[in-house]
Amino acid sequence: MMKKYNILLILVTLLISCNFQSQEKDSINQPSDSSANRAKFYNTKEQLDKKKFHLLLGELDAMKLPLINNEINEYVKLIEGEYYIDTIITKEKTSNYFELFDNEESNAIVNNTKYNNLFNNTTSITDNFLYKIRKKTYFPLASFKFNNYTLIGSFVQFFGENDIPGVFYIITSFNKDGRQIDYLILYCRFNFETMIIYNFKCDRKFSNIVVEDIEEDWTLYNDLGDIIGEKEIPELIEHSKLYEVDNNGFFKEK
Amino acid sequence: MHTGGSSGEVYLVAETTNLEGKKVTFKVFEKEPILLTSKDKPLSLLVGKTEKTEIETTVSDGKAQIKVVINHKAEKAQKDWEKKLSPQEEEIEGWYFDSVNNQSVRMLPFDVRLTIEPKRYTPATQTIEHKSYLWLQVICKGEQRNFDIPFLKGNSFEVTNTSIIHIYHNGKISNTYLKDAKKVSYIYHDSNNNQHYLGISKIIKTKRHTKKNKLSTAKNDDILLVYAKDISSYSSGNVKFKFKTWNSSSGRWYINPFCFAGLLGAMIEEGIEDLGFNGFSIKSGNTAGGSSSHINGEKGDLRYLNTRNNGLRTILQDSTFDYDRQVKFNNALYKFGWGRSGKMYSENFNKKVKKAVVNPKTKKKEIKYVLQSTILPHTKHMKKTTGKSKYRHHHHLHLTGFDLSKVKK
Repeated sequence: MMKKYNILLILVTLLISCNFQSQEKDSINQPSDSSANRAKFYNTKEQLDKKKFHLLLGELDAMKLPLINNEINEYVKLIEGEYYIDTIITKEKTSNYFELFDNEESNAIVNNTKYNNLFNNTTSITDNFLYKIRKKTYFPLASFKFNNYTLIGSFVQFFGENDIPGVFYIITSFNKDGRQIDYLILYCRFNFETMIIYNFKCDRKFSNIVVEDIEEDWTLYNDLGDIIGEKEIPELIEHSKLYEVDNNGFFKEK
Repeated sequence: MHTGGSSGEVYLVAETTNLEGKKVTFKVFEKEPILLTSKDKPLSLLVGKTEKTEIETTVSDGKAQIKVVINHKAEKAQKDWEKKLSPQEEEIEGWYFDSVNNQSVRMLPFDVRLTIEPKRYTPATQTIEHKSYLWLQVICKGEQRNFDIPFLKGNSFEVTNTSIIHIYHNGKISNTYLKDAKKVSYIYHDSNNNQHYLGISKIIKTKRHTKKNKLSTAKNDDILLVYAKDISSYSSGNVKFKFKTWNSSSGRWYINPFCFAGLLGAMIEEGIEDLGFNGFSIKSGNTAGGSSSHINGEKGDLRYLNTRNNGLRTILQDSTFDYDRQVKFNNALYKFGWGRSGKMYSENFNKKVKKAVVNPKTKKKEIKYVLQSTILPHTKHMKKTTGKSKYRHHHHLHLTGFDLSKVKK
């Protein structure tokens, strides 16, 4: 009888271990099982990010305020119908800090519902497809320090719908540990079938940030939706929104 | 034909010898009672506007043939059948859907990720199809002997609650009536007459857009869309397709049901399992993401194929651009209805080709690699980089010109 129980026990143990083995195989980026190891894994990552963040701050110029749209425009080139950042920026400012920003492999918390709910921050910009573009390369230029957080201004080369290149200028807020809090697209140039243009004005205290977005459609279509030429007068959709940065480093629409 | 949807039209056909002008009676039974309470009771089917359990017709040209609809006359009874055949969503134990990476992940219920990001991981589900399997009794009184023969006792006829779009290996697509359908299944018929059930998608009925951001004001001017991600892959022997990457930050995942059939047919024709799907329309049927032309799910964008088979960004000028496969795929798209009412959009590009050229020194012909301006089949050069309106098509193939009338079964 005892022998039978032993066999059963071995079988149960084997089944449990098989289950755990397949679990490990299928999971993604799973740190080690024990909570101590898990804590160590996250601490190390956070410490690395913090170190990198402070290295980055050391390399950046102080942000010149007020920020002016034309200064950004100067470094954006239209080549064969597509927008690129001037090589003056991309050659000098090689982005070694992409993991600090909202990229596919980052630890960024932008659009993280849990974090936003924590601060009761519900922004309307999450429906905007430009905020969902993940293929972005950041070229940080300048920083501005507040009490609780730091703002970093960066040129961003992105690939939008249909892998079409476009350019952003983004202000990103970080906490003291170098974790991204939020970001706002101030400037955009993107040309799919419609031209998407963001222009901006920003005061010295980041309390009045005007972002004007324009959709400019010059392409003429027939009834079947096929391109047949160019319109004499474009169809325009224009919006203007006013933002500020709150004490927690979130961009809020006023 | 081995499958049909409830509300779908079906022909009952019996081929006969020496029975010209005789009356044939069909009775249809269920193998197991799903729609009815007993398997011994014949199903009541619609012949014209009348419900009948014994369906009579006369042999003509060696065939007894009659059209029936697998449904009831009364709306309440129709809904009862629809409910019994409706596919059910059931949770898959131990699997969670990761909304960020768009894939299912195996996890235990106490996995730390479920606590940290509860909205990212939701229980993964699968659709369980409910089908009724039918067989047929055929009765006929002849001059010398009477016939009472069962058919389809082995390979039964399947009835589901969905309309079905049939895609045939020869490029034909069934013009399935979809007006009131809530779901649509896709079945591919290969060259050996085998049927492949590719999947099922919900149907979204929405107002037709006359142009970007503008809805039709006409009454009942609706369009139907399916959600492309519902049917993302299939593989059985040589019949296979897969959308490897989904690439629209604006969520252009919705497509006209027949246009989708044309796309799936072309992918299966070439066994494409690495396609990058860039998008058609959004759920409302509107265009999005900076586009203007992608209304009503009839225009779409795809990445070009590459030799790494990874569905990632590929431009025509890349050394990894898979020209040979792309040419075959474009031809397959045309075969299945695309580029018919107008050519698809791409761009001219330079391709290295072997050519006989005269060597100026030796004056002899030599075979050399030269750059030759090329355009993919069934496409036109759509590049405009000057003026106000600017567009490029070196990074994506723009699907347009789908014409069902040209490929209708």
